[in-house]
Amino acid sequence: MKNGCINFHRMIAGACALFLICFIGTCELNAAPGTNLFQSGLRAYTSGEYDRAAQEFGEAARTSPTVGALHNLGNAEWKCGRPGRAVLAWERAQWVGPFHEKTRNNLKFVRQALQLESPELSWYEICSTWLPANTWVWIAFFSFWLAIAMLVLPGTLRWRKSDWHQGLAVAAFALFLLTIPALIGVQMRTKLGVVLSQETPLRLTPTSEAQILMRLRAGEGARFIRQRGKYIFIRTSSATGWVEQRQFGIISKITHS
Amino acid sequence: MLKGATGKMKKLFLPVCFLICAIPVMGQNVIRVFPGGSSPVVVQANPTVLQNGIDPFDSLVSSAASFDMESPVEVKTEFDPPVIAAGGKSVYRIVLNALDESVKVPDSLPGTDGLEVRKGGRGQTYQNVGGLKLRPQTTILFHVTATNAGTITIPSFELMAYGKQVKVPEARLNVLPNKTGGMREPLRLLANLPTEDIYVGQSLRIPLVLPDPGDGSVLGLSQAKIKGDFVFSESFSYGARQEAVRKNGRTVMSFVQEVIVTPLSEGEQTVLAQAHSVSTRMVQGQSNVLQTVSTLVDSDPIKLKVKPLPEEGKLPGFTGAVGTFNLEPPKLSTNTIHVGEPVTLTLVIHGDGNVGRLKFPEIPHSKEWQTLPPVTDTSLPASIVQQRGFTSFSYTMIPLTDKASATPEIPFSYFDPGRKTYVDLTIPATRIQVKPSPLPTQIAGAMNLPDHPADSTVKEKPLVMMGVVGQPGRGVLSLEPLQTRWWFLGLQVLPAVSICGLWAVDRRRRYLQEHPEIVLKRRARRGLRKQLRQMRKAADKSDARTFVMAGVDAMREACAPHVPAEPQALVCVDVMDVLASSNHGVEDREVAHKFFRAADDLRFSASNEEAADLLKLKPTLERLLEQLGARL
Repeated sequence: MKNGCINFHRMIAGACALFLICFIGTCELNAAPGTNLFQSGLRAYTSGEYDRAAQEFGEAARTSPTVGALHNLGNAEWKCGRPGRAVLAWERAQWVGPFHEKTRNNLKFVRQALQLESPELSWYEICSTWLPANTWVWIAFFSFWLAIAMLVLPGTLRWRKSDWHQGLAVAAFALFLLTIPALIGVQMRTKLGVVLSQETPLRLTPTSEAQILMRLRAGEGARFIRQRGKYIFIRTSSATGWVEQRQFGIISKITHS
Repeated sequence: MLKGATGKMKKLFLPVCFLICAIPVMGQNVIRVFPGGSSPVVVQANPTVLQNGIDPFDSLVSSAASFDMESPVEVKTEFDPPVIAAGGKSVYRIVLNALDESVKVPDSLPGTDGLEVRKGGRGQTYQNVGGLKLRPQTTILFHVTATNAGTITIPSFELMAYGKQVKVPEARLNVLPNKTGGMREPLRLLANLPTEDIYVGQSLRIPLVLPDPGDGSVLGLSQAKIKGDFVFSESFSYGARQEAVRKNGRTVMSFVQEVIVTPLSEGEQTVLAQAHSVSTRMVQGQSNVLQTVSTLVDSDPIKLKVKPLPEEGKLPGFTGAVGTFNLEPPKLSTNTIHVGEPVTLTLVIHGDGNVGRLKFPEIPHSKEWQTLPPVTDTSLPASIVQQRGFTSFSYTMIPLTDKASATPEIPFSYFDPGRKTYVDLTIPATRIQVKPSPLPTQIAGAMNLPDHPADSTVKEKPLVMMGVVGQPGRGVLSLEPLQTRWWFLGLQVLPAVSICGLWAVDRRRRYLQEHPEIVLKRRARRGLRKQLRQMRKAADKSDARTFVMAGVDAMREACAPHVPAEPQALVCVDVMDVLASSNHGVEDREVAHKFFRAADDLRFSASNEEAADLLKLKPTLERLLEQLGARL
């Protein structure tokens, strides 16, 4: 019986180690494949070849999205006079690493310079920005299964009854409940996007001949609602309408355009 | 497209459209009759409308009528006047019941030999056709000048309406020889342009004059406007009146309406004035009946020379105000406030210019005041404000320190086209008493109100763009959140299965604890199979010793759960008891006994003789063991 108990402990330890490896693998990835592109992008940027730098950083970010590549991509796009793409890159950098001070500053700077408003976020979306998007998921994952394990395992493994089992289960479950609004916030923020082109027409219907309701400025934030063909239905702070897909970038999706 | 668009917009456009068209539409309800060639008698074509006292306009607006676009499109053409002298002018008029936006006319008219043709105005009115419907009526004008005498026919041709081809009937113009007198001329609109310089952004009040041809046929004027590519025309006209004007050396009564236009671009602009005249004309075939009709009239093309606003002498606070303006003294909502409380500064500006669409200047940044953008009084439409000649706006300001003693000066200036110079109209500072905040310091701090911002030497750093970073830093496999990726959802199965597995194992273990015979029987079956294999191998090798020992052990294993005891602890008697209890015959018990005896001999006397004989009993022993195994 004692041997069986030890085996169970080993199983649990093995499972935890597996999850930890997954967690580290997805969260703290040091992107080796994009490093060369990143370095050549840096060289191009420092030599004033901003277009090439934007290409290199863009490719690096597509290969493995890192805070540094996305931040530098934003800087290069800004230097190339593409404020919409710059805002999108910085927003993506914030998505990956919300604590990056330089990116946060640059977003403030560009919004002040272009008189753009920050996207309106609900309270749970604001909560979700306190940590990187995937960290919330892992916290929820571990806390939920820890709570379940603490409820099930002591009886199953015939551990001696102890208060800390229940205490840990309650704490883990409370933590899981606290992560739910943030998870909803992350899910809602996946719909956020940025207008890429200057004077982007917001149309009444998804056709090229449709009536233009208003023109959106590059860098303006909007929410993706649905897609029809090559048009996307978005909601800005002041209006809703259709824009062409190529004129709108979603923060949580890097496309190979 | 057009039909789809009208669905929701009909209701919105209707009141405005109908307001614009109300006068000409209602004019058509009146018919004048000359009984027996005497003086005209006026009768109501639709007397019930007026008898019941309901205003048709109010009735239509409140009933949310819609456009009639289903009726077949009918086109009428005419020359007005139909008879002219050579060298004289006439108007070729196309009238059809379709929305103006849907009508496409060919660039040139067919069969215009002997005519000089020029495009004229184009306008739209609406007719109440009952059933809460308005029928649009579009009029398109062409100005023609006859060069030769004779009859000129513009043949039937086709135009597009609502995307379909519509046939336009032919029209005839009789051109008499050159010196024929007494010919009627078409109605023409005259525009009295200002003689002074015209500047971009300047609001011009232009009177449009429709002279009566001398027979008193003109009864009114409506929908006056000026059309042009880079000219903004207010949607309403003002100052409708009748005036006596000199025309061709004689005084005629004229109808006048003023329109306000604003040139939007510098350079020479060509514009066209147009309006709907309400006039009477004979009903065709009834020489004694006059009908009141609304017809579109226009002017000759008018050229405006628009100058740019001078860059030289531009003053601070210029936001595009052009004209002559003056400010009333600013008014504060209160003269005494505390730090952090808002105060409103209201200003009224009068003037002759673009007062309806003035943009007011922002308050310059001040350390003593937090200011909000100016708010204009929007209770009236801009066109009404333009006509009224004054507007008001207000600034909301919040003092940040009790050292503020007056509101900040607000630079404001306008361009005076008459003086051709910019004029300063700075909004002066107004004295106000600011008392310290009654709130505790902590609350003031929470409201971001500095204690003494004016004294503060710490200046807020202006934001600058931060440079690139040298390291890629933190990264992810994909920007898509984990919860939307399939492998992460699949990963949830792993702990679920683990925990469920543990639970199932524990449950089974508890069950076996409560039923130990199951464990014993399982162990017995395992032991029996093992001993049987050994026994058969020994029999094949004729190894009697091993055969006997394995046979005995097999019987022990098979009988152990029934005793219950450890298999090695069983002796021959125990096995005999089990065999007896399971109704085995004497023969079986005898065989078992022989095997036990032989095993004892082998173990204690090393005699192998009886064991060798027992090899023959292998089938019997196997049958016995099979029967014992069946009980497990």
